[in-house]
Amino acid sequence: MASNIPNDNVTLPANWRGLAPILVAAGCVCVLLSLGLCYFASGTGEEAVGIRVFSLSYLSSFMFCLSFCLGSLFFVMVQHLVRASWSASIRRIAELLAFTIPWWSLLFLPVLALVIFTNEPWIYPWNVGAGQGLPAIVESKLQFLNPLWFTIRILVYFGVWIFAARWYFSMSRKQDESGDSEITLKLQKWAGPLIMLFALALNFGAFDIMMSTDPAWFSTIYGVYLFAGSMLSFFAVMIILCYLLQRNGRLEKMVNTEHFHDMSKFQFGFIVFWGYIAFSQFLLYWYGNIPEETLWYKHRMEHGWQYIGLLLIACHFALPFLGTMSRYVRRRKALMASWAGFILFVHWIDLMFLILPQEGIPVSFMLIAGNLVCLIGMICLFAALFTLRVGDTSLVAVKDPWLPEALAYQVGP
Amino acid sequence: MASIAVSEVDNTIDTPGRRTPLVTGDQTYSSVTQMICRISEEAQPTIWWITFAIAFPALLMFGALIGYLFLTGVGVWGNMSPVFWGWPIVNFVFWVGIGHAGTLISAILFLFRQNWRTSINRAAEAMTIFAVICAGTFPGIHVGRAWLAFWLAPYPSLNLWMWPQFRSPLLWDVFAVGTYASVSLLFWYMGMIPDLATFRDRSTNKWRRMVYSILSLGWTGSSRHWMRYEKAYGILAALATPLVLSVHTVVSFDFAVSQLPGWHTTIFPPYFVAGAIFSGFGMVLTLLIPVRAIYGLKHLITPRHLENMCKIILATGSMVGLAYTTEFFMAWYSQNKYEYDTFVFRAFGPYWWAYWIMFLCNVISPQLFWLKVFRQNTVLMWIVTIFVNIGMWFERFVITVTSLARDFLPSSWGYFSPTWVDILMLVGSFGLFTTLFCLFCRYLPIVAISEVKGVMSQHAHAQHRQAHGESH
Repeated sequence: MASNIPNDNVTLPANWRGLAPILVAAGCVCVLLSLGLCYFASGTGEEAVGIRVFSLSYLSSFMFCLSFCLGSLFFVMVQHLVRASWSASIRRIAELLAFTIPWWSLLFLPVLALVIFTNEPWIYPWNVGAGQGLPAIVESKLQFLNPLWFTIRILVYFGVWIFAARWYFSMSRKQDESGDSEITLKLQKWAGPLIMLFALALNFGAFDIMMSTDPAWFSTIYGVYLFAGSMLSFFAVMIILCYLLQRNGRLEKMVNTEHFHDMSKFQFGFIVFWGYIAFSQFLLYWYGNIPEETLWYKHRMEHGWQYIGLLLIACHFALPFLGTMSRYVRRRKALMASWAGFILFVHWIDLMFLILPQEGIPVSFMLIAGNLVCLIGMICLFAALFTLRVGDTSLVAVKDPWLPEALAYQVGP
Repeated sequence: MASIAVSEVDNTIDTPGRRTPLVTGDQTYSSVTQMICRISEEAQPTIWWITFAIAFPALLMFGALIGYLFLTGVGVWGNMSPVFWGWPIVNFVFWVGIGHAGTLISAILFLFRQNWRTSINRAAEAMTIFAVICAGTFPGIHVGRAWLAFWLAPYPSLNLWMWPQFRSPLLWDVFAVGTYASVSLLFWYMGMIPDLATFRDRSTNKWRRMVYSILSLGWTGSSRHWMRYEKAYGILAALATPLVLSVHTVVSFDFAVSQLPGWHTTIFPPYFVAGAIFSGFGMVLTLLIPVRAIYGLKHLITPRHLENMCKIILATGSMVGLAYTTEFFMAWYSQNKYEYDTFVFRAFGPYWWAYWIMFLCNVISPQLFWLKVFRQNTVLMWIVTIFVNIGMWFERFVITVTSLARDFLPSSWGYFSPTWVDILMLVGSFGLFTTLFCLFCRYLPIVAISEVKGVMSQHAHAQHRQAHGESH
């Protein structure tokens, strides 16, 4: 079988790895610059909102990278669960993306420190604690939303993700050497239970990390919403990475047009799924018109946020839906890579729309600029981390038993 | 014709890098044709007659009860204040849910190129149509004056100058279920045309030949026919895919757009869809386990097919479990007293038995499919699917009845009890469903012959490629 595997260059370009120190430096500079920019973001009231804007921007940029890493972890597990073969040649990239979670999660420590060591409400208003003038509805949740329990839950969520990501990566690496198909059987066997744990962690993690930035508000679909965005951004990242690697002479035969076509189909599917989930949440709350539920949307329908909301309908759903529907587009790699870039951009807007519109924070030039610079910084840091994590690791699981089928694979009409 | 499928193997064993055969037992193209066609050509087995003899009178009873309902009024049901939606709506949602597996198998599994769907898609699609017929009956007769049910259709009424209430999800439901029924029917029928032509060509009886000739629309199997058929199938699959999500999403809107505690929650759309797929596959297995035994289809509907369906039931059952957990958690987290009390009432109030039947059947019983013995032993598997069917009926009962039984004012609290008409109508709807399924087995190709053959040759080619792979 081994002779069927094309002789491809499957290592990361050396100059990418060389960029890591520059990227780290650029990332740190951008995050600091973002602090400066956000500091001048104006509020609707007298109170300065700069530090809140920066903290929330930091969280949303952190979640931007974490979301597609979680998407990649789910992708790896689900490919094993359903015994998929088409993805065998691209799965390693997803494994590597997921493998950054253990280090990436360290960037959540500042948020955790803010919760544990201070009573500042910059990210989580509930953090001020009892008797500090919180609304009664939030006050009564403090037995759940308090630093101790929050920290324990965060450790559990990240623990599940880190364990799964590390295990899948290390087992797959082991197979690179031995070619043992027993490893595939083992990965398939544990995919089911691990996906269940992953789903619980993602669902409740979304409530804790993102939804509790507005502690009075609640929505049972929120976890699914984050999941939709995570999967969508994951496929976008995959398309871009595969495209860039091929431009640099990597994976030229291992990843073919059929794989691009399939990733684009999945991306299209999740564009629709995101629209479905976002619409379901909005429709049910708009129709029910109960104040404690609509307040969250009220914050997002005033002070300029309404335009961001409309932008999401157009750019997160309508445009990419129409733009990536055709088979012609899906089989043009450069075109799909630009669409994927567009998707990632609107995914950032989506996360901003979920996290930043708080009481007293209007849209302002400084807010957008600060948030964007923060995102660029985080992407630089992530890219550095990714290249360091990849190192000499092969970008394809070269001894995966499904690889020959993946390479011979053709999509139907 | 050379034998192209492999002989007896346990096709549930996974060998990474190798696809297990989906048709077992040294079948040839002609043996597959023979295996399916003889079901309708030969006399039916005794068990078919026994089933029909039970189901058909139940169907007649259903008709009689509907007549009784029309003559007397909806007071014959247990519906009361405050439980204005009783069993009829429970039955409606139950049957619509059952009707989800067919289109999922024929559309979504088709788009995912899941070849194992070919042995089961036909029966599942038929089941879908019959379930949607049962489902459509209940809201139709629930409107009170059923002879005016056509008012649901938006037409420019010159007498009334009125349109239906487009802002009501109940009307969206008319469109959603109507579209779903039409597309499913079209999909089912179109897929059947090549097989109906086979029935036509094999028929010896003049009448039989005439009927199948009309139904097969002049199919000759020419390459032009196949080309158009494949194209149409792909388009219908793409069109039907959003329908799998939309129907039960709109059904969930019936509940979720209201302000009623226990109904008004945003997880409802995806949760209802997962539940529908869960119940649909439950019913597919409930039907196909006996069918494959009675008609000797074990080489087509193999242990692998059954195991795959068990796994889908396990996955969707767990999703439903996650939704139950999220709902309960959010009822507390929202700090909405009414919401929380409704959930406590469901689990520990007078309807506690219904809630725990639902929970045990839908969340706990599918977990048995973690054990291989439950995925392989058809008797155990069948018992679990019965639990799934029961659990999903109770889920709709819990949602509908428990949320209504305690109105906001304690003076408006009530306890729903079904009448004998409620119970017999549910039985009658099973009569309708089973009768139609019996007739389907008797007269139509219950496995997609042409599609199964496509999978057989693919497997043979794959084996060929693997055997010669090194030298190329």
